[in-house]
Amino acid sequence: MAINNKILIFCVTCVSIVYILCNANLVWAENPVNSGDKGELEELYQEKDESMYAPAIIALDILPGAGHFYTGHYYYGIVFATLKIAGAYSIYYYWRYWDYRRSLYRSARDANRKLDPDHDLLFDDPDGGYKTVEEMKHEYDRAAHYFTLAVIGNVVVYAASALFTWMHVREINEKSIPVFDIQYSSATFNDTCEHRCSVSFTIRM
Amino acid sequence: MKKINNSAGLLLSALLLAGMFVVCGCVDDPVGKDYYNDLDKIKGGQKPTPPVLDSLSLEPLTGDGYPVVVTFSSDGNDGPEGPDGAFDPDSGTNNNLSYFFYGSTTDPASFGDASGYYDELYYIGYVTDAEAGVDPKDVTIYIHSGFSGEIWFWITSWDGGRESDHSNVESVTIP
Repeated sequence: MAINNKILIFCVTCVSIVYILCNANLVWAENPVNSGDKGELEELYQEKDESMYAPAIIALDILPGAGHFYTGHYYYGIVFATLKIAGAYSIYYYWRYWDYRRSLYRSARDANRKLDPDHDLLFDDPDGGYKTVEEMKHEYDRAAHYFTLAVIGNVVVYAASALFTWMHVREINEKSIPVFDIQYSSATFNDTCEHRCSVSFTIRM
Repeated sequence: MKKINNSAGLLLSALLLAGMFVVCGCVDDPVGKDYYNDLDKIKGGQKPTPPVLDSLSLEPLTGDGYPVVVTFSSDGNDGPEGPDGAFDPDSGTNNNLSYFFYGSTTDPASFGDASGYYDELYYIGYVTDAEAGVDPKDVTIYIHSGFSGEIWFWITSWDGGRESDHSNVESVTIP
């Protein structure tokens, strides 16, 4: 691997870590649980299920497992983080593999045209064996299929993760929505008529 | 407790993402444009030279058809100015060569594309050089008795990886 590529990977890794840590700090700071006065009230306040803005949490879920960790579903977080990391790696890997196979195919094609255009030469494949230009092209096409499948797999994983995140957020929001009850009753006795009206307001703490 | 878990989860995400980039270093880099412009990466290395098709002779009809005796020379070391027959530059001999026989009922000069000379459509069969150093060699090809007309033949040599250019083309007329 070229040294420039290593430097690029190192820089991307550093930027990613800094970005995610900053993002984590922002999420933590913006969470009402983490702001305000410290004290006994905070302990009570933390017990309440906070209302969450679903689009923001789903957007946060772009980071592997972040949406699930934020909503407190750690097992989901670990599973989807693993799937997304593996998925992202598979996309990168198969994109590089596709690029690699394309370079082999093009190099073989050009060499065959240049050295002996009337014959199908057998080129030493780094993955093993000898292949003609046509077989190199098949490998190149196969690599493109792998890349496509990796992209589709990632879309499925991200969609499933977003769906679960949305369900978890909805579940939390349902618990945090205040409930209003209005009751009215009317009863007529022998000589009196009684009307009763009551209003109740319930909030889960 | 919740804030700790949130931060720990996000930190875990960051570490996993960072791990991914570290592992990404294992993927092969694309090769250069001239990667295969190297005979060491081509099976057979250098291309062998073709044999010389000396003559075709038609024998009387037999039960197997019309025998056509193909006489060719494969000794590449007897030319006055170096090898002029089948010769493998990599091994320095012709002992490791095989010979491919082609035949066509149309003149190959009309193929247009030179790669037509090596098309499987015209491939008849092959012989190995079982009699290295013995020249010329005879190979008999039987033509179906129902056929009549002119047939063109040509030969190539093969070193296990690369095929030579075609030999001279000769024809024979089946009555």
